[in-house]
Parts: sequence; C-alpha cells; structure tokens
Amino acid sequence: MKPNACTFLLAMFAALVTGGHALAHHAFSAEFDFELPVTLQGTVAKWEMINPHGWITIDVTGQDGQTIQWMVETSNPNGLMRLGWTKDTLQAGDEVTIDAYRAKDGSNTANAARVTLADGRQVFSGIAPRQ
Amino acid sequence: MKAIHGRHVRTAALVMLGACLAAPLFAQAPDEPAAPSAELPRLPDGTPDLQGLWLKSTGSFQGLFIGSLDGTNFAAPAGGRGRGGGPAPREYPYTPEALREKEYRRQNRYLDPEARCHIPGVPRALDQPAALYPVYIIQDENYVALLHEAMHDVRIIPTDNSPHPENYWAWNGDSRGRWEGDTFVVDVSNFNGRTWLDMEGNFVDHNEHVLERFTLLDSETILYEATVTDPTVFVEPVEFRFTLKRVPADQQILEYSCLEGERSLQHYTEEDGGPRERVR
Repeated sequence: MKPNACTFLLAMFAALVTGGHALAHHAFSAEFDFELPVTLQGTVAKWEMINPHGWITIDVTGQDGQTIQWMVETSNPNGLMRLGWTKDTLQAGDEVTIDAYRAKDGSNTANAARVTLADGRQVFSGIAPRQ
Repeated sequence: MKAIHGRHVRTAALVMLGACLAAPLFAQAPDEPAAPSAELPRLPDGTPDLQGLWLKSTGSFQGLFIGSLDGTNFAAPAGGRGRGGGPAPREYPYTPEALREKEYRRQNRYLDPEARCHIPGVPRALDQPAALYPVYIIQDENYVALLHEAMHDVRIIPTDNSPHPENYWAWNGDSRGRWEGDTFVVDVSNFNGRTWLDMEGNFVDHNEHVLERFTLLDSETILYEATVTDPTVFVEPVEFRFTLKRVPADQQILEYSCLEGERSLQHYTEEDGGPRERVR
C-alpha cells in the first residue's frame, strides 16, 4: 500500500472513531447518550446509505412477542464507503445485532457503534463502542 | 450473507493495521512544517500546483485508537476527549458580550447552521474536526477553486487580488487571492455573519475577516494557515494552522446531499435547545 493511500484510509478511520466528532455533521452528544448503550437484535427492514448519515431500520422482537421498529443512525456514508461499506452491506431480511447508543429523547432511535452480522462478523459503523 | 462486503471492511481494517501503524506516516506534524521544496509541482505559469484531492490532517492518528480496526476493543487514551481521544475544546479570545453569546449558543446547539446543512463558512469548511470530508482543488492562472465534499460547498477564488464587491454578503463571504512567492494568499470578507466555527457554539459575525495562506510544502502536503479577525467578537486575532494531505488518486470526491438523510435535529432535546424532552 502506498503511504499516501495509507494516510488517507487511516485518516478516514480515525475520523470515524473520534468520539463526539465522529458524526462530523452534528454533535453526537446533542442527540445521543454514551451512558445509554443498547444492543438491538433483529431483522433489517431497510439500509439507507444516504447523507449526512446512513440509517438502518431494524425490527426488534421482544420476549413478549411484540415487534418494535428502531431507527439506527450510522456515521457519514461517504466515510463508510471509503472503508468498504456499500448499499448492499445490509439487506432487508438480514439478521443482525447492533451495539448502539440511545437517543436522549427516549424514542426508538440510536446511533450504531458496531453491527454484528448473522455469521458473527462485525463491521464498524461509526462510533467506537464502549468496552 | 454479504460476505464480500463485510470482508471489504475487515480487509481495509487489517491492511491499515499492518501497513499504517508500523510506518511513521505522520512524522510531519502540523506544528513542524518542512521547508518549501524547490521541486514543487508547478503550473506552466510557474505557480505551485495545488490541484488534487486533499484531506485535513490531524497529526498523528496513532494515539487515537487502540485495538483492532473492525470496531472491537477500542479504548480512549488517557487525557483524551471522549472515545477516541479527540482534541480538547479550543478557547477563543472573546469580548465579554461575545462570550455570553458563545455560551448561549453552546447551550443551543440545535441552532448550529452546519447541523442544518448550511455552508460551514471560512475557515470551518476546511477545519472539519473529524477530517472526514476531502476538498478538491482545481486551479489555472486566473482562479483557484475549492470544491468541498461536505455540503457541496464551493469557493472560486480569483487570483488577481481584485477588490471585494460592495453590497454582497454570503456564508462564505467573498474571496480574493494573490500569489506571494509560492504561497497562495486569500483575503476573505463580506460574510453574512451567520456561521459558527465549530459544533460547540464558537462563532463569528458579519465583521469577520480572514487572511488565508495555502503553501504547498511538497507534492503531498499543503500547509493551511488562517488569521481570523472580528473586532466585535474577538479581542485579538485567532490563528488556525494545520496541514492538508493529498488523497490517493484512486479516490474521488463524493456526493453529499445533506438534506436527504438529515433526521437528527428532530431528536435534539431541550438540553441543546431542541424540541424534544430529555428522557433519562
């Protein structure tokens, strides 16, 4: 890999994981709360690779059998595209687990840190997940 | 399921780990620019060739993350701001009144123009904290054009040092450039006074004036310097200084249709001046 290509990809990655700046277009902490992590296991209804943020719509069925739809924001799709994401990375019907942070307003909205595919592979989605 | 796509992400991560972390890629920190080289690429008229795709460098990224690059095992370094350890908030030399205004805006980030997909202004368009969006520079003997990926923001800068127009005010103001040796100097005035400097409420008003300096240090690096004065906001000039690194030729500027997926502001709570109630 050429050094300048390396620089660029590393910069892209660093940009995507840099705390509250990771969203770039708006302040993470104005919408989401790092103190409210949530793990969503469900079925992808829609993956929208659109600016300024991508959105994963996921249907989550609880233990009571009730299905609730969540909207999960990712980082900027241009940055994700440069790291290998495509509009086909997620497709309707995919079973996924998303580690995310909930919106402060209590809605079924969250910001994705990590998406785990059905086969166990994990793909980074914009915010470094809490350990 | 979608193995190829996840593999792409993982491959990119592993390649970066192996090829990037071991190399002194950011030995050239913004505070220690190299001396301009006599071997600079130049246009036929002799001016340094700034053309290409560039991305703001934030210095060494090696301290920003620990662990694998596929989203696991991250940890913020000590003293860092938030996860990933971003830079500490910058303090600006506000007048007392402007400081109160800044604090108001900090508590009302719902008002941030960039969160509403407006043009970031100068120097915010280049000073994007996440260094996420590149800028494409096109140049001839008469103009230098900055095409920012973020917000589809464009500045077409005459190189003739012509005067600013009268009765014109804009988010980006009006830019007039000139070459001083190998440095492209841009005088920016005529701002509409609506831009913020960052997401934290720092701001300028219509009296903002910016003197920018673009210096090609080598074929891979532009040193960007800006002096911002605003007598009704700051008690002294504010300096910006960082480098832009050339983006590999296989990359291109991408579409950024900001309004399409802007669904964030509706979730802002009253803590940031937003419409929603904070739910604990």
